[in-house]
Parts: sequence; C-alpha cells; structure tokens
Amino acid sequence: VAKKSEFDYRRKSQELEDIVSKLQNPEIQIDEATKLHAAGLKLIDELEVYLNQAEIEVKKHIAKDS
Amino acid sequence: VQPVGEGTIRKAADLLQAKLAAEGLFDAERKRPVPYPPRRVALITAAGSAAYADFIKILNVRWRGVTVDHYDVLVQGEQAPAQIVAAITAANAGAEPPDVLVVTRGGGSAEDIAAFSHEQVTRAVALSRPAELAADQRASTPSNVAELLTPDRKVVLRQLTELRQELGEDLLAIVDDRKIWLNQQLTELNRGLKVSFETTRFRVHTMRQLLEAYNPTAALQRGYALVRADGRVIKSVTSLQVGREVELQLSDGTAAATITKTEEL
Repeated sequence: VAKKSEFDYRRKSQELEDIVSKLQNPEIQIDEATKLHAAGLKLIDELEVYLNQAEIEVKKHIAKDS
Repeated sequence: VQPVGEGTIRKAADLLQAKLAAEGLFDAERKRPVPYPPRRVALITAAGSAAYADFIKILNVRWRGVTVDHYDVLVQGEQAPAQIVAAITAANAGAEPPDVLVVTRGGGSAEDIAAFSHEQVTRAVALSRPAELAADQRASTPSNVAELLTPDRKVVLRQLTELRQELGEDLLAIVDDRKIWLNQQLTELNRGLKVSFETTRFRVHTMRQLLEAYNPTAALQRGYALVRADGRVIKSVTSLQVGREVELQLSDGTAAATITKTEEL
C-alpha cells in the first residue's frame, strides 16, 4: 500500500545525532559548522512538530474514554 | 438382594469412577483446554427445562456470538443414558465439532441424576473429541456452567478501556522522553556551534600574533635596520667589502651608505 510520504522519525533523529556528533569534532571548519547547525535546527523543528502531533493524537484517544 | 437408595448409588458411582480412572480415562493428558470463550457449544439437556433456559440466558448476558447446538435428551429415567450417549456421539461426529460439550440438568436426588454417572455416559464424555466440561470441571448449576465458559462482557469492556488508557499513557511517556532528548540535541547543537566559533576565533588570534611576530616593520620601529646590497638582504658581514655601496632601510625611509670597515664577531 503506497502511503503518502510517511514521516521517518527514526531516520531523521539518526540524522540529527550524526550532525551533533560531527559538530562536536574540534577539527570542524566554521563554514561547515554553520551549515550543520542550520540543518540540525531544521531537523529539530520537524521532529518537534511530529512529537507534538503525536501527543495531541494520543490525548484525543485517551479523552474518548473518560 | 437388590441394593437401593442414595448411599448405594453414590457407592456405585465411586466404584465406576475408580474403574474408569484405572483405565486412564481421566488422565491429565486426555484433557484438552476449553477455548475461552468457546465459539461453539454442544448443549445436551432437556428442551424446555430450567437448565436449558438458565444456561442460554446466562450465556447471552455474559457473552455474545457463541453458537449453541442443542441436543434434546431425557436427563433422567431408563432411556436417559442411551440418549445422552447418542447426543454426545452426534455432537462429536458433526461437520463442525463443538469446542465444548455441556451435559447438564437441574438438581435432584442422587437417583435423579444417576444417568449422568452412568458408565456409558462417562465413557462417552471422556472419549469425546472436544474438551468437555462435565468431567473436567464440576459446575454446580447450568448457570454456573455458562459462567465458567464465558467471560463477563462488561468486565472485558472495562479491561479494554483501562488498557487503552494505559497504552495512551505509555505512549505519552515515550513522547515526553523523546522531547527531552530533542532538547538535549538542541543544547548540543548550539554548544557545538559555539565551540566551533571559539576555536576559529582562537585560530585567527594565533595567526594574527604569528604574523605580527614576523612583521619586519615592527622590528624597524624598534630601531633595527635592514641592509641590502644589489637588492638582496645582507645577513653576514662576510658578504661585505670595504667600499661596497649598500642601502639601509629604516622604519620611515631608506638611506645609501658605503662600507668603510668590516669586522667579524
């Protein structure tokens, strides 16, 4: 079943971890660091939106019962 | 002498029990678990009896969707054992055998219920393909049988509701964990960039100091002079001879000079 491009939480959080670990390398050049930082912020925003939506969904399901 | 009375019947039933047990009819490995709740029940009892009505009523109150195949039999009297055995056989031979056989009747004296302890009936039950209740679990009443066979729908629904609540809470706990993690990543990300900036700034500072240290004009300002001959910097007195024309570079200009004397250190 072809689902519309599903949000890949695992992949995105892995990417974020990679970025953070690259950024922690003391040899990194400032232009590269700036780029990685921006990419990391973008991923954090996406992951946060996803988590917030998931939270709302779950709360809706729980509210259905009580 | 023909023995009569309840005591005798009880004694006979005990003897039969012992005999069949010795044959292995009640061995644990012969027993099959009753599916809970069963999908199909063979109900062997008298039509129109309280036992029949009670069983069906309780079954429907507690659970739905159980198929009941009813086998109408006499539950007491001479013909009862043969009818019960025939019903058990028919139930077992059906295209869709039941998950459980319920052979039941209302209460009565030991004499009344003697048909249920009849050797042939006990054998038929023990040899039945589906797991049976009568021999495995002695339920006290037909209603009690229905209760043993099925869960209470209301209880199950309440459990499901609780489960849904628990699942939701578990999921929320996971979401919370991930949010904390995300915050840590943000902190790390910002710290990484900050460190990178500081490192870069320090590198630039070091290079500036290095460049300044090697800056010749700084030395000239302190009073040193560069000596050139034919455009090349002279580093040794041995490169100079008396009468040689040289150019002196000072911090604010140049001057021409002629060597009048040399002396090595």
